[in-house]
This record gives sequence, C-alpha cells and structure tokens, in this order.
Amino acid sequence: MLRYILRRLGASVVLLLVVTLMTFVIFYVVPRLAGRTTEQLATMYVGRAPTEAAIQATIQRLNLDQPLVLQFWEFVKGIVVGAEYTFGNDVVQCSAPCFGYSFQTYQEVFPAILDRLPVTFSLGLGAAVLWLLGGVAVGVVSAVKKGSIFDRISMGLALAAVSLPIFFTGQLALAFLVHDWDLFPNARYTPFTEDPVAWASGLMLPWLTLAFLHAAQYARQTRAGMLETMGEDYIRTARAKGLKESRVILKHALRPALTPILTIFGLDVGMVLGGAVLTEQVYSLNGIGRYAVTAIVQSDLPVILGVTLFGAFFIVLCNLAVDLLYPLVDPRVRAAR
Amino acid sequence: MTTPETGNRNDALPVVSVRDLSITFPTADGDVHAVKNLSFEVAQGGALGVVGESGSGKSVTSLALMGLHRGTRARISGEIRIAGTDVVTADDRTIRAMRGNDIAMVFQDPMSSLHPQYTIGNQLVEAYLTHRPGAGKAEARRRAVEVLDRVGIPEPARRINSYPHEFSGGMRQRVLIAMGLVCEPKVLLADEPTTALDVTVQAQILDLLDELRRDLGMALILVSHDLAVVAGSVDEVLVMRKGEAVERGDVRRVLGSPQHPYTRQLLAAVPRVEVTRAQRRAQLRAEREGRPVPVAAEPPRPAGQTGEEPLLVVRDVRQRFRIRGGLFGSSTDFYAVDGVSFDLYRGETLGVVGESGSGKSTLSRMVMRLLEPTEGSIVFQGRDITHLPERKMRPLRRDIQMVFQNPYSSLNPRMTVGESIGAPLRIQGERNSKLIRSRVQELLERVGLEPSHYNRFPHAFSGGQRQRIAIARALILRPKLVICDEPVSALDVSTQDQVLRLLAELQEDFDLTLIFVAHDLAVVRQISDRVLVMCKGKIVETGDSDEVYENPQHPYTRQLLAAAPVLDPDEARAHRAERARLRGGQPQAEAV
Repeated sequence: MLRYILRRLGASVVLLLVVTLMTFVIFYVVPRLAGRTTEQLATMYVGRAPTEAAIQATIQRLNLDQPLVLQFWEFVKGIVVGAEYTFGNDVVQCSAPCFGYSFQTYQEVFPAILDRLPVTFSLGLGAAVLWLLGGVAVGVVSAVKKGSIFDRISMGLALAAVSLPIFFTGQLALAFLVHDWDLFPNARYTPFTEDPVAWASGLMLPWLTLAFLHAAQYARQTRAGMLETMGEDYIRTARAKGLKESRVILKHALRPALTPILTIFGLDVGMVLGGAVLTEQVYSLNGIGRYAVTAIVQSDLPVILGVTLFGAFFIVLCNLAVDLLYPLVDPRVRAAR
Repeated sequence: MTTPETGNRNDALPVVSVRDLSITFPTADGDVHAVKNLSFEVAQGGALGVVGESGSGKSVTSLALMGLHRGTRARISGEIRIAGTDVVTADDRTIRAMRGNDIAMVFQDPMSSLHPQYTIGNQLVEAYLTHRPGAGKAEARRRAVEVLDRVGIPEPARRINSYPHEFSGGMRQRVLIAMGLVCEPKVLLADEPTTALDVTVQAQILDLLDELRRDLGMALILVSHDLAVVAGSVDEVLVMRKGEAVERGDVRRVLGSPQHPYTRQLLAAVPRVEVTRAQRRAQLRAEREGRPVPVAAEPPRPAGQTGEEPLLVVRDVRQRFRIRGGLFGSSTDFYAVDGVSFDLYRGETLGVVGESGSGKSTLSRMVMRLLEPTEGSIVFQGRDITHLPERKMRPLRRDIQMVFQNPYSSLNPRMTVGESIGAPLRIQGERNSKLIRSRVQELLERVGLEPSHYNRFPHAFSGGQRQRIAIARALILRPKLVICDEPVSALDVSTQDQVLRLLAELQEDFDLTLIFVAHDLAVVRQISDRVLVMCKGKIVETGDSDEVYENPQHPYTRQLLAAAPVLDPDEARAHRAERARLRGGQPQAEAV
C-alpha cells in the first residue's frame, strides 16, 4: 500500500512538471516560433507605455535574453524556492511558490490567488455536492424507471443542460429566478466565517447554475452504469436472496455504478477548484476564474501562468485523491496492484 | 399427487409442485413459447434432475420457480407452488419472504454471481438478516461461519472477511451454496452449478450437494445439460426439449431404458470414459460410410514407432511468471509449466489433461509461440523455434494454428465470419479477394455451415456454430499442427459431440496433427492416441491413451478418473464413495 501511494505521489509530481513545461512552452516558446524578437516579446508584457527602460527591465525580470533551458530553470526555481526581482534599484523578495508579479497591479501573483481562493472553493465545493447528489439521484430513478415519463423528461433535460452554456443558463436564472420571481437574492460572496446564512443564500444561484450543467452529465453516466450493473449475475443473486428491491438497487447495483463516477468526479472537482471561469464571470464573483479572465484580457502573463499551474495542481491533486480512494471502493484494485 | 411411474418412495406432500406451466415471451416476431405445459413435483427431501440443451426452457423454468420472472416480459400461466407459496399469484412481499428462506438458488457462473465489492461475510450476513430480522449481527455472523464450514471452506472464521476474487471458482460456488443454506431452505435449486468448473471440482460440488441434501433433508433440483452430471445425484429425471417435457421418470429407468428418441440421442452424445479411441474411430468411420458399426475394433495406430522424424519435439520447457509481492515488492517466481517434454508425430493426436492451473493452456501457448519459453526447447519440423523472433515466426504460423476455448469471445464481433475466417490468408499475403472468398466458402461448407453465411456476424450463430467457424479459421491455411485448447468445454453435450465428430473427420481429411487440451477425460480419451496428464506444471503420467485410462499409475490420474461423471447411477454412487475414500487421506485445505 505504502509503495502504491509513493508511486502515485511520484507520478503526480512528474505530471505537474510536465504541465509546467507545456505552459512555459506555450507562453515563451510559441511566440518566438512565430517570429517575435526578444524586444517585441518584452513589449507585449510591459503594458501601455513601453519605454526603452521598461522593456529592458522586463527582459531582465523574465530572463528573456537567456537560453530557453535557463529560462525554464529560473521559472521552476522561482516556484520551488522563490526568487528575487529588481525594480530599478529595489530588490524585492518573492517567496515560494513564486509565480512573479502582475504586470498590471504589481501585486505578487500567488498571494492574489490565495485571496480569491475562498470564493472559488465555496462556489466549487458547494456546487459539487449539489451536482453529485442531484445527478446520481436522477440517474438512479431514471435507470430503475427506464422508459417512464420521468426518465424521458429528465434525460431530455440532461441533454439540454449539457448543451447549454453557463452564460446562457446563468442569464436565464438571473432574469427569472432573481428579477421576475424574486426567489433568490442576487449572487454575492460573504465569507462563511462572517455569516453562514448569507454565505449560503448569496451562493445559491451560482451553485445551482454550475451544478445544473454537471448534474446532467452525472445523471446520464449514473443511468448508463446502473442499467449495466442491473443486468449482472450478482444482482440476480441478490434478488434470489429475497432482498427488497430498494436494497438491491441501493446496495448492490449502485456501488459498482458509482465506481467510474468517482473518477470523473475527481476530475470535475479539480477543474472547478482551479476556477469556475464562466460562473464567476456571469455572477461577478471575484474568484480565481475571474482573475484569470481579467489577466487574459490584459495579457498579464505571470497571472495567466500562475492561474494555469494552480488549476493544474488541483486537477492532479484530486486525481491523486481518486487513485488513493479507488482501492477502498473496489477491492479488486487492491489485488491487481 | 405423485404419478405412479415415478415410483417415488416419499408419500409426503411435495414441496415443489408445478402444474401446466407455460412461459411465453412476446417479441416483435410473435410470441416465443419458452415453456409449454410443464408439470412436475418434488417431494420433501427428494431430488429431481432437469436435463436439456440450451434453449430447452430449463433455465427459464428455474427462474420462474424463484419468482425471478417478475419484472421481465415473461408471461406465465399455470401453477407453481413452493412450500405452500403460490408463486404465480402471490404478492411481491410473499415472494421475497419465500426466496432464500423456502427455496434457494445456486447459479451457473460462480465467477460473476457474487458481488465483487463486498466481502462474502457481508453477503452471507445480509441473506440471513433478511429473513431473520430479529437476529443480531453477531448471531448472523456465527451462522455464516457455520455454513461456510459446512460447505468445506477452510478456516471459515478468517475467510469470512475475504472478497470473492480471493477465492477459486470451486470455492466461490461453495460460498454460493453456503449463501443458499444460510436460512435452511426446504428446496435447493441448482442451475448448471458445475458447468463452469473442472471435472474434479465438479465432482466435489456434486458430492457436496448430495451430502447436504441427505444431511439436511432438503429437496434438490439439479438442472444440467449433461445427463451424466445428474445421474449420480437425483432420484428422478425430467428431460426437456424446446420447452416441453419429453420424458420423466426414475433415474435408473430413464438412463437404463430411455423411451423417447431425444433422450436416447442425449445419452449417445455423452462422452464415455470407458469407450476406447479405436472403438470410437471405428464407430465414426462406420457412421460416415453408412455401414453398421463393426464389432471388432481396428488395431491401434503405430504412432511414432516407424522411426520417422517427429513433427514437434518439446524438451524440458519451463515458463516462469513473476508474481509481485506485498509491501516491499519482493517478487517471487512461479513456474506455470515446469520441465515438460514430449514428441509428437505426424497424424497423431496428443491429449493434454489437467485441472485449471495445471499449466496446460500455458503449454499450448508456448507451442504456438504466443509465449516464449523461459527454458528448454521447442523444435518444429526440425527447426528450433524456441526463441525465434516474431518476424521469423510469422511464416511458420501457417503451419501451427489454434482453436480457443470460448467461441463467444474468440471471434471479433464486428467482423463478418467470412472476414474472420479469411483474415489469416490475408495476413499471410494473399491479395486476391475472390480467391479468398471462394476458399472461405468452401471451408464453411466443409465444417457444416452454409457458404451464404459468409456475410453474417458472429452473434447470429450458436456456440457450436461459432466453434465450427473458429475451426474453419484455424484450417484455412492448411496447417500441419492444430492446437485445440478446451474447444468443447463451453458447449452443451450434444453440441460437444457434433464438434468432436467434425474434428475427427477433419483430422482425417486434412491429415492434421492435433494437440487436444481439456479437463474432461472422456472427451480426451475419445480423440487422443496418447495422453499427457499434467498437474501443477509437471507431467505426472504419460502414455498410450487406453493404457492410461485402463491402468492409471499416478494417484492424481486415478483421482481425475474417479471424478469423471458416469451415466450409470449405481456406478456414479460407487465413484462417489471412491472419491470420499481418496479425499479421506487429504487435509480439507486441499479441496478446491
């Protein structure tokens, strides 16, 4: 078991390094391949009033005049042990993990991400609970009542939900649920520690919107999985024991159907924790996703890099969690290892 | 209520009584009548064997007895009474109370019938608590350990926490039987309980069922496609065909003097250990030429005694598999085949017998060079192929072909059978599509199918037909050596017989040399000139097939022979006693 955990951990670190390398290549190497010179690159990152001095400072700061390998090395070194930057005569210490400074606000990127983390976490985790419970419940009922009105309507809705983008459903929800019918207050983030009730009511709308999209996928997956396991021999055995149908479904059929769901759940949670871009944008929640959007609009390279790696970190982390949970869920994995 | 012809000694009220049972499935092409006007009863403590090939309606009937037809599209008429419960009309609650409590079922495939994600203890305790809601967890657990012990699971108190995948197939079937026993049912319904198992394990499971029935006074319904399987375990036999009972009566009467032609046909299909190779050959040849069976058998073939060069020489081959170990990953070596040698001459048939895990499949994969032997040598037609790289091996593949065990998974479901059969020709470089097509169609006809089947997909064929297709695919390149790895063990006895006949004919017509791998001794004897008996990767006995069968030297061979099912009920019981005697000297843990 220990060996397995260590191996998975090692693989995760390697994976993160690969992601870092690819992100680096996209932002530093691809523009060069397109024919940009070092000065032009630096100009892109300087901002609105590129003076010669500012350009030179940026080249220094991003090591743009160094060989690529060295640039990458400095980049990784900054993340692992921190870095020092010189602004004119000042030397600024950027502690690990250092993703550098925003070109726009001159704020350090990592603390800025941490500031926005509670918003994204509250949004993502709340929505994840909703979509998991809602999606699985609908999927189970659909599978058991296959071909019924409920099954047809919910699967039709699921198809619509998967296809509709959040900026559409989000606007609809705002228009009807908030303005016309006044069911929910408008989205607003209040820290949980300040006022839990306001926290929940302020996030209810974004939760529902985000969960709606994902729940649809979970409902379809659960339904398909349930239909498959309901045909297994061990379900027949369970019935032959004289078990109630509810027990056959909830204990014997649901568990194997949920096993693959665990995998996609890990991926989805990781993805949302890295920033629910559209939802945050639609409801003007100041989370990591919105930070990323702003940075992209302003070509704020260090922020984009930081947010990308941060998102990758959560996906890898959640995947690791799933891998470690898997043997608990399916004992056969323990044996196969 | 008992019909006079059954001669049933037990006058008690039957625990199972079926009257005019008909089961119909409505389909787009009209109703399919799976069971028609079936009637039978089983007395308390009695045993009934239900025999028929696939499609005879025997499994549908078993499911209906459990009320498991509910929720499917099956329409049912007639009457089923199980220990006072009217299964056809009772409400779901009553049926649930009956299942597991009055009648318990053991299914065909022990590998898939237990839930893979719960411990066996969990599954047993659940069965007990469902019908004894007042009992505590501790009591249920005690009962679970008790029944596991009863069915011969070693160290039940420890093993109760194991998951199904930690048991062998035979052990899983024991666990399923234990699950059936946990609430002391009046009837145990076993639907093909041994079809997925080796001969030796089959014998153990049948012995266990027989013993339990006698000790616990349970009635037993044993469903099988093989008359020989039920012969030693039941009092009465019901033969089914296409949903109807064609014959029913005392087991000795039905097997001794069958009335219905179909019963006779089924009996004739059962491979018999006592029939020699020569007798079988003479019989087949006579049937082919339409002559009556000659009384005198032809002399045995002088295989390998003419001084000719052997086609295949296998010397001291070993195959090692690494098993990765526990916490610190120390790996241990495991030899699946451990020092096997034999010669094989042209036109000869070599039977390889052993239980699962004996290394017989590994051996055939090495001869095919699907595996590279760890040690030893394999010489085919004077050429050492032991370590030949795949590129050089490919032209030789023309001469060595294989027929696999499972005809359902060894054919690509997305290729037409014509493409499947023709694929080897294409791979060997044949470009002319017309030629391929005509060769394939010729061969389809030769194995007893229609040339027009070329464009059909495998799902349109039965198991026996698929195995014919697999045989055609093996023969398309006109190989010299064909390895058949358990080619008939997934088939019904009657289909099995047809495929064996086909193989015998083809061997003559195509001048084939065969390696025939099987766990079923009777099948091997009928087709082989010489036999290798394998156990734990080693050859324990080898020799002329008649010699091995009539005068087995090694205790393991004797054990295998004692396990083979026989048709005579009295002889079957004698074998059972012999097995009990052989087992007597062994510790429980050796039971599989």
